[in-house]
Amino acid sequence: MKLLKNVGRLEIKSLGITLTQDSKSSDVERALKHEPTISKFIEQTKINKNDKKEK
Amino acid sequence: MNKEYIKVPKGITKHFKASACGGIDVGAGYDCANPIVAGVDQRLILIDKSVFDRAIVTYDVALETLITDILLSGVGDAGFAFEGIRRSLNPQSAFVPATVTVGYDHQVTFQIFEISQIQKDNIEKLGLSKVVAIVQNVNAAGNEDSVFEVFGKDVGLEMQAGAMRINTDIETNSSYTIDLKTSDESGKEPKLPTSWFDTDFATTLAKVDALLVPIP
Repeated sequence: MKLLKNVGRLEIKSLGITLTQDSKSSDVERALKHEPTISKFIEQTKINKNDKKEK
Repeated sequence: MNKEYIKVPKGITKHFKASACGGIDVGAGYDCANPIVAGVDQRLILIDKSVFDRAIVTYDVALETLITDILLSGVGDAGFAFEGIRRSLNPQSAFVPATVTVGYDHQVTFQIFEISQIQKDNIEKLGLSKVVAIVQNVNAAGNEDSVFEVFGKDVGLEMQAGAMRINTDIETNSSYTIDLKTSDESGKEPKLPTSWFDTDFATTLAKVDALLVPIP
């Protein structure tokens, strides 16, 4: 499943977060809340495989 | 492939890479049809490091170290262009190995051809700041995806000590000489200047130019 679209990596410097295709959904949601403008780069917010790792 | 194995206490064989971050994985040739071309466009774009640190930076899908866009995000955030002539802009980078790690110095030396009080105030602010620089190399096929490069992306560039203006100097036309460089008194840049490329030259240039428009 793809997390990002049109970019391979997305660095939100003010949050200190770099989103990749393997990022956790909690990081994606935090980034979206802080920078709603990045929604155009987000394919989806749920990556089950990595969410499991988070527990 | 050069592999090293070590026995860990529990008897598990663990594989270590030949070097940290992996070894080199590609060679280099010389493209006779499209050779690399030296030189830079004489427009330098500077962004305050604090402004850059609010930006969103996107990277290429296939090559995740290649910048595809820098989107400033704060209200009023913008970059500023410093125009030069002939060879008044001189960017360079250097490898700085230390005992236990490595880094890079990024350096941009350029002239400011204004001596107004407003510009003096600006230069003084530059002396108190850290900045990120966008440099445009010659737009030639041989320069591939590296026509635009970002200097000081991680640590920032600081103004260095030295003579700034000699009022009677003919060589510089008595302009201000500004030397921006990775500081010797703090951390070095972890990478070489990063290339910025998206689709083609025109698309990338439009994105670079957009940095000069303040965010509403």
